[in-house]
Amino acid sequence: MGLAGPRNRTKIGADPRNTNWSNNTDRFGHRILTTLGWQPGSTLGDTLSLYHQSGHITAASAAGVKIALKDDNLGIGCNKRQREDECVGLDGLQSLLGRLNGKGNDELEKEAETRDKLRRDVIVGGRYGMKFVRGETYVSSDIDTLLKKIKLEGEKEAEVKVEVEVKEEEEEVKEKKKKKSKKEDKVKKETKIKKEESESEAEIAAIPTTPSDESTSVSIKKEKKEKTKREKSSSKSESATPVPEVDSDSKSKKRKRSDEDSTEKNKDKKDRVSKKSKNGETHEQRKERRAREKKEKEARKAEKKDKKKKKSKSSSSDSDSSEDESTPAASGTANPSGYSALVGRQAVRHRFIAAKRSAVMDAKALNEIFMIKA
Amino acid sequence: MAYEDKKRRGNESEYPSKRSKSEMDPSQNPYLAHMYEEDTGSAGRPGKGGNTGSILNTFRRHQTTTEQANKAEDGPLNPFNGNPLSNQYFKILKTRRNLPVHQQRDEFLEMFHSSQILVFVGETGSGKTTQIPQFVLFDDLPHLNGRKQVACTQPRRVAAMSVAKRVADEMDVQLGQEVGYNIRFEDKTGPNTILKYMTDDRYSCIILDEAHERTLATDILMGLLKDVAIRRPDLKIIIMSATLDAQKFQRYFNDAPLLAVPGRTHPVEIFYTPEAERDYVEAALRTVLQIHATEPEGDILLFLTGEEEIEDACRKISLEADELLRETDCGPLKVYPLYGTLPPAMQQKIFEPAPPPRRPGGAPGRKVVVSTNIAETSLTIDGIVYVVDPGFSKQKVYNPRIRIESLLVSPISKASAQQRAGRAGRTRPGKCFRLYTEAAFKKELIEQTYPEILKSNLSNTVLELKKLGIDDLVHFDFMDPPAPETMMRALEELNFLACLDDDGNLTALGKIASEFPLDPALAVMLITSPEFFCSNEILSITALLSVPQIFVRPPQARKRADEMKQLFAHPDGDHLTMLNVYHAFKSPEAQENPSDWCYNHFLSLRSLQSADNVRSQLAKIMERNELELVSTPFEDKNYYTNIRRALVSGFFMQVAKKAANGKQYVTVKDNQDVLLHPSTVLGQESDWLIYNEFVLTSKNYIRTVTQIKAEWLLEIAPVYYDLNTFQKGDVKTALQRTAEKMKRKEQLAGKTSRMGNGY
Repeated sequence: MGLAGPRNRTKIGADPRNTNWSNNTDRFGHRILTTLGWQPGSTLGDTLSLYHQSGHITAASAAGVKIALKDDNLGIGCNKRQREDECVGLDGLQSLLGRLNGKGNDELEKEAETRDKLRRDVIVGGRYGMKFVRGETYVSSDIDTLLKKIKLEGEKEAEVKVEVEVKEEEEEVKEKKKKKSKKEDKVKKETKIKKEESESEAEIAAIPTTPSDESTSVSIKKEKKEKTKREKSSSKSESATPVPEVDSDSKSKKRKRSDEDSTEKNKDKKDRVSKKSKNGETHEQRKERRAREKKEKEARKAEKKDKKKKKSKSSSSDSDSSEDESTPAASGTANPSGYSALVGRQAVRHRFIAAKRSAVMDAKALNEIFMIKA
Repeated sequence: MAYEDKKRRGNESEYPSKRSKSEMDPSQNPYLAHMYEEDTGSAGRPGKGGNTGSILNTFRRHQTTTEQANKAEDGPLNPFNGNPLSNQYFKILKTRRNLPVHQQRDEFLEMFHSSQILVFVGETGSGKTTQIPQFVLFDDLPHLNGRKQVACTQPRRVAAMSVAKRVADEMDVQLGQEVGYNIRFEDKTGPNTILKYMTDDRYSCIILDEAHERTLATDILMGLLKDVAIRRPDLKIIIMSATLDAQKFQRYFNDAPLLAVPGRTHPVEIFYTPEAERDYVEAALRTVLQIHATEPEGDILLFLTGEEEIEDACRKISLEADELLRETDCGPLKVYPLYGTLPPAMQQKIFEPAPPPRRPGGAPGRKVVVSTNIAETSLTIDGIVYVVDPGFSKQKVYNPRIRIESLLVSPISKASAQQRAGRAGRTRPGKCFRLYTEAAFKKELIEQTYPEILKSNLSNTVLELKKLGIDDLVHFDFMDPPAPETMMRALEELNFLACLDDDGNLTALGKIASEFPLDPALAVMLITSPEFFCSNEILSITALLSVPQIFVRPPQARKRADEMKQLFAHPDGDHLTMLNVYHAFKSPEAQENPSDWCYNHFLSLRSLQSADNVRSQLAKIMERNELELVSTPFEDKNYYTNIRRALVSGFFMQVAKKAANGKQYVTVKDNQDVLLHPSTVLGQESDWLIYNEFVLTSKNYIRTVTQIKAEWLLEIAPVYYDLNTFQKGDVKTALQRTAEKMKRKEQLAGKTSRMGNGY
């Protein structure tokens, strides 16, 4: 084995994907499918049914399932070089770096505790040396509650279908409100980013905008999670070891969140239904409705602005500008990742902060900065 | 004999079907019974199957209550056959009433009465598989309604058998009487059968169990049932699933109502590794041993991917555990493997209790089960408290472009991982150790496992659908539509096999082929084999190809095993070698003590026995279709040639030609570079080969090969080997040369009987 490791010579055949076959449209199979009404590029199945449009059909129905060939024993998420790149012993420097970044003492203590807890949470086996970190708790009753919820929603949906227009309109308004409030949340988040850059939430928010190392983002996420957990535990009791109760508590929170998500999705569907029925409306009705909606929208906007102002006392100018930027997105299609809304100077600054942060969070980069040999 | 010939004949009714449906009195057909409601009378009237004194006669169909059913179940006479109920029955009844589903019997009946299609979600262990069909029996009263049956489909054969047995016990009836099962090669039902468990390749059913497994048959069945439900409003359908994918089922069945029953699982703490593992098998072994050394009492379930890996792991764990036992005061550790091809007796062993402590009061013993994903849903092992999940399983995948269907190790889905974790909480709160990070769980795992219909060759399925009269394959309401390329390939294969004509209609040959529970290529080969005077031999080869590997090659005795294989080797290839093995196995010498004989010759007795069984089942189907069983006399010099020619009639689409240089081969038409699998016994260099399997590993191999002649290809499958459809290249040139040679020969010989037998 030389320096470069063993040489693996692979020869790729002339047409390993057999495009000769797939590009040939004179084939029997192609002919039969087209005569039956299939068009190249579309999926098979009852494509006009409601079920088909409900998002339950995966991309594999169009292109098939692709699996990468695995001929080693690497665990999930492991690539060969990962271990070699690892370095340790930067924990001590984290607090120093934090201080340089202007974090308060409280925060630094908190962070240190988080790291301690992470270390404590790792169960170290003696002889066999397997380490584990505690994750969530899987409870079967989760399933029950979720299923009951599904059932209720199903019933509600059926009702909606029977009762007409008026209710749907209400639903729509609600839906919009929800969207709005979601946007509001986002706006809040963004202002937070600007206000207190040390907040861990901001760290996460910043990542999607910069092409940063994936592994760092993961570690950040984890840290943040630990943090919230830890906060909980400290507020409840002073016990140092993780109590299962605490765990399940945070879990239930998570559950709630996911439930909310699902209801939202459902609402989306309803929205679609209502849109369909709208086609049946007369012209006047439509006009009227639009006018009404507009009014409502404006009222809501004003209301929101008021709220905003109350909330952001000191940095009002900052938050205002960001809000203005995010509203156009809100009136358009629902865009789950609203970060594209950031433009101009804000975005540049945002990206700069994120890049700086990601550099600090990346152990390897730090090593280079401090010229440590791992 | 020429292929073209057969194709033409295929359109005429050359093969009269003995089981012509028009001959049957439609009123006798149980599936049409709803059309003759007046004749058979309404509920409450004693029917043919019911005993007149039964309490069930007072029930009104689809209006019963839990109370009524409980009363009927309390006896003292068996409501279905009038026999007195045994003590055993009452003992079981007591435990049955404690099952979670029983708490919701009222709710179930209410929904069952009010809706045609019902989606039912119950975790494994809720008792849905055994109890729901019985709830239905007491309400649907099929025996009082003109010989109708309640059918419950199961994706696995083992499950159908064991569940039927259990339910027969619970109802205090004999298996095969009121309760029976019907699986691929076995029918254990009788005239009195009212509840039937079946593997889901039969299509007239009510309860679809384990629908979340999404086997090919389940998916097709659901599509058909959705359609049938519209035309037969009296037919009730229950879809039973164990996972959260239920919403999808619900929506698919036009928002059918959904009933959920909680399982009896305890909370399971989940642990992740702080960083990714370099070797998941080694990490798994270490985790198992660590659990054994440090955790309190409770059995361990480890998920690995395949037979070889599992056997290897079992060996290593046992060795390490022995060492641990010597050095510390740990309890004894017993290790059991579990995978599909394991003999049933060995499979039963996993239910044995954990070993007792070495000395009274010492550390408790522990049992470790190392399993494939069978233990994920279909099999329940009590006493499991710890689950070790490396996150991989072997999954089937099909590439329609190069036509490879293979089992590959790949990451499981999130749903699968949760299911695995749930296995730890069956008896008490448990722990699940995932050998990957939490981030990897969120990022690398897909949400749901892909259903089989997206991962399989569909030629058999398309044939089945065609037989059922589904012509519009494009708009068939699949729950997950297969990829268009997969569908095209299936249609093309069937067309080349002459199972479908050029307009896509089923031919007579296709109709017969669909009678065989085989891959269409194998079925066609079997059907045409009498024309080559070797249907006996082809029947044996087909059976041998339908069972697990018959050659055993244990790692500690590879050389000896290879030597033994050489005893049977035929220079022309592996198909004929397998045939030699089968003939030797059937010889009186071997039959004297088959298990010793197999052991000494490194053969799998179980595979050979099941091949024997499959052979006789297929022979029955051949007989039914008036296909003769013939052989060329063994002394005839064409004995093996005829067999090889017959093989070509089925496998002409799986041909490889030797590349100009060295040992490589290239597949015909698909142009893939392949190597001969090291296990082949091929005696001499050969230009043209048929292969049974295209194996995908780091290199592409063809396995189970037999040498043939290019002339046969042109002669037996002229449509597929129409030279105009070939790409320019080595293969085409060689075939062209062969064609010219054949032409010259023909001219020389004049127009004599070229097509005669005995080549």
